[in-house]
Amino acid sequence: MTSDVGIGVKPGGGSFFPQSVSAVSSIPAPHVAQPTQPNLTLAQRVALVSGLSRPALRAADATAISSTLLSLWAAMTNRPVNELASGEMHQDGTVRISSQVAVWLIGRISEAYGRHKLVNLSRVKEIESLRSLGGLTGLLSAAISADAEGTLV
Amino acid sequence: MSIYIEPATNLSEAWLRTLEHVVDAGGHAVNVITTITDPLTPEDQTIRSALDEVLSVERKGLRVQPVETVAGTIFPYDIYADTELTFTPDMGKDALAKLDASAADLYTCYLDMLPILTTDRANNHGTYFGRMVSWPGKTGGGTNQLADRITRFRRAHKANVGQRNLEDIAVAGEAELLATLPSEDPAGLQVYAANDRRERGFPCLVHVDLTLFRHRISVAATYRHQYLVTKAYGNLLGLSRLLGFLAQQTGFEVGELMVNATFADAEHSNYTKAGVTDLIAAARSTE
Repeated sequence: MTSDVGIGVKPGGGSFFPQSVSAVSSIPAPHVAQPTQPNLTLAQRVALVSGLSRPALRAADATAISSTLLSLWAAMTNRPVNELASGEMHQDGTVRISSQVAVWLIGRISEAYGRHKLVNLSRVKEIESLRSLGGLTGLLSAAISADAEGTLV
Repeated sequence: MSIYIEPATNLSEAWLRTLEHVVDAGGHAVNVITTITDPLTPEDQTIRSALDEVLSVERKGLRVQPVETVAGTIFPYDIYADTELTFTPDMGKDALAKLDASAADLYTCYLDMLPILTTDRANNHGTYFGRMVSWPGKTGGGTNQLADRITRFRRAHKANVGQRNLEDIAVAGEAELLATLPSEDPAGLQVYAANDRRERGFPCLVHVDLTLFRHRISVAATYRHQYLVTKAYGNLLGLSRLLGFLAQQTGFEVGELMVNATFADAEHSNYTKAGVTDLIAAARSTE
């Protein structure tokens, strides 16, 4: 049998990742043709985000934590904060994020806080908290508060 | 008896044809071959919406995840900052640096995620993408198979090698990972350990094979248990994106995606026979 791979297929190249057509989510695709900080590595962009220390996170209210998360997300995607902030809204009224982004943000906050795993995914009761900036803010705020009180498990 | 599904241009149609065939076969089938001829063709919105609707309903005793979450286990699209650059052997130094940095950032981001991801019981044994970028996949510091394959494909591209078949016959086991000599061919992506004796659960995807032919990269993936409603669509989407990433990073064109499900399950027990029939009807709806 002869393979016909490559026969009759239009030339590719260009944009490899067309937008998803999901009716459920239209989270901005992570295209960064014009990155915010084109000459900085991921580590350098993350290092520029303020509020990433244990004292700062303990002192932060929900608004401050949300702002830090948004800045981290912008650093990860190399896109402007205001562009991400004006993206699709979750039903809780805050910006929708993907669970992958949420997991990465938890990892970064955990590292900055100095606790290896601030959130155990198997113990997250409301999965939607991993799909919005507000939900994730609440989850991390609760974890930091519990840690401060010595009740985080 | 094996079933060869009529190839489809886009993943939505390929998935739906597969589901229809397996339902017609009674709900289960062995050695089901699904082929997508142009994996990066946009999805069919009607089909995707019908499935999204079904997967948005919580079901007792069944872990149902959105399509994007399933796809993200194979290629974490949401954390990839795509530069929209494509590798060419003669691309400028700055452009190449940006392209390389985007891939490096993707790997770094994912390795940052692994400690948290593995707190989910479903990820106790690692994740597919984790196994691809840090074999054996539960922590960082392992073998980055993806980077290794990109390096080899780029080498082939620079040498204008693209008209011969470089397929491998990698099977379960780690030995092939030791094949790092420049003269060796690009190999598949190992996602399954030879000593893995689990009978159910992760990993359902046991192997991803990469073939370069006529300057196109094609992917063949083998699943030992393909859950056609809960997982299959997301799997096809993730594999398509993985293929797109490999093509972008190596400058070759996108070939076809073939999935062999050694056991395909229409999941009547999870969604009821009527429920799966309704899903197909909704996906075939023209309204």
